[in-house]
Amino acid sequence: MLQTLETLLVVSVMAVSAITDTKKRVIPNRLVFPSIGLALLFQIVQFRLDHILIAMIGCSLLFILYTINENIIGGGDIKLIFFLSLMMGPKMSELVYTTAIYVLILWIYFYIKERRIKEKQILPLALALFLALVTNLMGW
Amino acid sequence: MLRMVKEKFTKLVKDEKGGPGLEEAVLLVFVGLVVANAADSLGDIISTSYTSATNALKTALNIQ
Repeated sequence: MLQTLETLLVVSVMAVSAITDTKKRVIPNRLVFPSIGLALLFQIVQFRLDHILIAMIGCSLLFILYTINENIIGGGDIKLIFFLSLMMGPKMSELVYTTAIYVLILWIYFYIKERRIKEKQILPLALALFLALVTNLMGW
Repeated sequence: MLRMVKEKFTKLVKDEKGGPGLEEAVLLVFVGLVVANAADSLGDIISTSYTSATNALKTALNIQ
């Protein structure tokens, strides 16, 4: 029951983030903060401290990148990855590998678009994360 | 230094921006892959050490 709720939460939040990121390049705080709160609650209830630890370590590294150069990763993306790491825990490393494949596909698409319309393109990372999540959940 | 980190953190909390640029995405993916690979390796090392330490303790204490 709890597992189904968790899956529903993570898929719906990621789907909405993927849509807003693709359309407006924005991941709304009013979506991410309540989701992080719920995810924390889920993990505390189930005593899964490893999930919290993995999310904190992973996002600390992203925060260092953000401190060095804000263009490397958006603030919305970091908070979304924190939420995703909280929910996925140790499975996050598999998700990173799958995300890399989708980023490559999206990168090629946006690179061609950038060359064609001569306008700087921004890659929707939430879309790549969502596609990777669906792929992992399906067990492909 | 601490003040700068605090300022950046406040900025991060308010920031809703998504997606890196195309050039930055390459660096981000590279860092992500390196970190994920390192985390996997570290997990394996911890798991192997834990198993061998538990087995050694069981043998020493004569627990089946």
